[in-house]
Amino acid sequence: MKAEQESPKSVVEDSHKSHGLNRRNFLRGSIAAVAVTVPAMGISEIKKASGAPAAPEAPAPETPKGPPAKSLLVLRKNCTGCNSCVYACSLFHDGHVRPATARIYVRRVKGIVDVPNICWHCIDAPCVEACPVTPKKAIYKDKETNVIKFTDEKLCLGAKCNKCVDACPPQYLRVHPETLRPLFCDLCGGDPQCVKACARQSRETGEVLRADPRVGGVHRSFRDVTPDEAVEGLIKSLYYPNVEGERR
Amino acid sequence: MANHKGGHFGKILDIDLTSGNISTKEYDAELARKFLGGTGLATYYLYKEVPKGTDPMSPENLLILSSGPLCGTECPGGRLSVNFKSPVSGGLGNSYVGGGFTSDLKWAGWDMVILRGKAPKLSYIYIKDDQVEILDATAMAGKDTYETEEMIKEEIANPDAKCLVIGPAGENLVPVAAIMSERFKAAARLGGGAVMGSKNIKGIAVHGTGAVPIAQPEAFHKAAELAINMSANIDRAPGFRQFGTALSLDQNGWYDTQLATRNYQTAYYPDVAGLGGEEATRNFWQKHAACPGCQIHCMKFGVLRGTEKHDGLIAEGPEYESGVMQGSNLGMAVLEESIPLIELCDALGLDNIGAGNVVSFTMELMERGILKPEDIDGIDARFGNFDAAYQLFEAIAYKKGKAGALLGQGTYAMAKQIGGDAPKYACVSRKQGIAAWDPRSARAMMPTYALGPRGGVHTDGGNPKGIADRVVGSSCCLCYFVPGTWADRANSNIIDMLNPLCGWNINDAEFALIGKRIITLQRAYSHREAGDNRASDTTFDRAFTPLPEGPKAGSKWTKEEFKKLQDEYYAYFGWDNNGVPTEKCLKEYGLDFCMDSLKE
Repeated sequence: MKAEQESPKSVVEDSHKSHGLNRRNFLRGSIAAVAVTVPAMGISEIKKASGAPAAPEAPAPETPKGPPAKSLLVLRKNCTGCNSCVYACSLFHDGHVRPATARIYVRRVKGIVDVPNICWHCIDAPCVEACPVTPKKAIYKDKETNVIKFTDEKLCLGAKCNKCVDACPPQYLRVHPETLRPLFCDLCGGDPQCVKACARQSRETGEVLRADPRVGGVHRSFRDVTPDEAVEGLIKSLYYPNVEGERR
Repeated sequence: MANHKGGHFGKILDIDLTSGNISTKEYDAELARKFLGGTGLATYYLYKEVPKGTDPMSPENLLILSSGPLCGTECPGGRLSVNFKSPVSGGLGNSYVGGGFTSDLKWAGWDMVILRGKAPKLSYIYIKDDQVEILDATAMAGKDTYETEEMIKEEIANPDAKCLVIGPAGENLVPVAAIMSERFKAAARLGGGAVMGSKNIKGIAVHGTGAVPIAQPEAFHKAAELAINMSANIDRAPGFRQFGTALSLDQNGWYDTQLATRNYQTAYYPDVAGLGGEEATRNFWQKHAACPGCQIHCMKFGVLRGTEKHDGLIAEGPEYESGVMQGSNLGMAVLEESIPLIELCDALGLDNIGAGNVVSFTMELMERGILKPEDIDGIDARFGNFDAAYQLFEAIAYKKGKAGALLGQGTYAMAKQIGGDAPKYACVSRKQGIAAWDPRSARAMMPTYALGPRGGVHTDGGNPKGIADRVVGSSCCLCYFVPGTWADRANSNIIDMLNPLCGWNINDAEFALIGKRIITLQRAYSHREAGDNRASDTTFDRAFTPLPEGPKAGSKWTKEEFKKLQDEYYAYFGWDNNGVPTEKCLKEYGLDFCMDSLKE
């Protein structure tokens, strides 16, 4: 069981037991971690690289109830820009389609690459760190669900501050157009709607979004990728030798 | 007036470009239920507000960007309908473009944008929710569509804005100019780009942060969920999601024999193997791409690698129409040659189909000795000559030299100018160059080419009922690929979503009536402006000659068959024998305001 020993240390022992992670799920998790560290890689290469048993191509038939999701993973290269995740997110949270308030968003850049932006649910949570409100911070990381929550939304200074938005390494955080307070991904209470919506239509393209039941199985090297860097990498990997993506 | 329960805001953004005056126009729920939105409602305003006999390129013409009730919701496949009086046909001008513009327009709180007048200098418009600005675009003059879009997004500092732009072709008022969006998407047919150019508008950007109101959310979400699941179901769109419309390239050129080839001389083209979906999968495509909210992702982006010319060229395609009009119809046989032409049309803002049609027509005239190279600046335009085709597309867009002047007027006018035998080889229906399906074997294309509300386009439906149903979908601004995945639930899915969305109780009968009403309104408009009737509902001569080769060799239309098609079509909508709406049917459809169209 070498693979297990080499897996990221941040996998909390307790979460194994409490959510009944069997070895298979665990292995799939570690595949995902590899996948995300190299977002530009195709799925087949990742399988080769990881040397792990191949995950099924098609999304698994709906399992009754898996362990609750504690973070998200994204393979940007497969994204078609269909925005189904965005629609599903705002439908779940607001009851109608409104991308401006969605907790996930996709931007098409230069007309040729699609960049999904997600909350990586990082363990060190720089957004919480940056919150200047005293004595009690306006936001905190919920240990149980691994999402950022408002201590009390009224404590948040909103547009006057937005220090959390500036602190987010992948520049993911956006503010609500009316309240001007940040929009945090709450993983839909452990069952992310974006992942389901994506799986419904990513059969030809390969998986784009994945829910991970582990806490902080994500390394900084890919969390810290800004959208601009992601665009650069995607254009290079998809459209080489045209690394700028301009007209020729 | 705002008695809308959902789906519509009842608000139209009315921009007078001459004076710079921006106002809001309201309409009531009754009108929305009669014409839905999209092309239906836009044709209503076109009919009412553009005086009879207006010159399409004059400031009096309107450019109406119209969204539909289902756009901006989770219903898959929203498109924008662009409406104007066409400089090509002289009648109804109407084309569609996918992408995010239409839903962002809704999220900004508008159902429709009407552009009237003419801006004093080259300008672009920025719509951010209810903030609307007309901004200076002189720095973008002559820029291609991609550069223009990037410049606009940078100037307004909003990478999330969706843009409609024109390229050099639109600025030069070429009738085969398209309005482009998101680099590769086009509202191409009937000369919308030229109308936008005549208004001195280089681009329109929109970004909305709101949401569409829903009358009965629970019922609507349930119906939409069903529609989405049907679209996402792979069995309903086999191969289509994998290959996009390029799937038809391989099928049509080989055993279906429907692929327009060498200016529609034949429809059998085994060389299509070098242009089709399979070839593109192996050697060109890099990525699937979808319009927002759609499960089909029919677009494919790719890059040319290791080619002598245009190495590193990024393009969308080949899809069926562009793969034919810039491929087999020009005698190209490899992606290396068709892709740069497709990309060139997109960048210059040319209608792939219209411009491709005029170039293939030129090539046939050249081969038949009717045209000489010296007539078109010494360009040796023969089938399969890539460089000549490239030069011709550039000449059209920039109206350059003799070639630009001759070809830049479109197939119909060009054939008329040359005279003699030339019109025999011009493949036009109702004055517009036809699309990439040969109607001799693709029988269902004849009604849409010759009789549909626009003429010459391939997307209006294959029989009278199909045409009426299609226009309802188009007025809700649905991409017609999406109802295609709903099969026999195509109409009922639309009804099931519209009713709870708008708080209506439309049934099948009313659905059919709306279709007939809108088609009749469009006919009345085209009849008033361009005199459309039985005599003008024509198609090209070649359709009546047999297909020369392939599995369907010998297939052709006869005059009797064509007449029967016309009879059925006119009877279905209750028009008279001459193809003109009658007073009775106008009354029945509630189109009393169209009575004046019947007067000569």
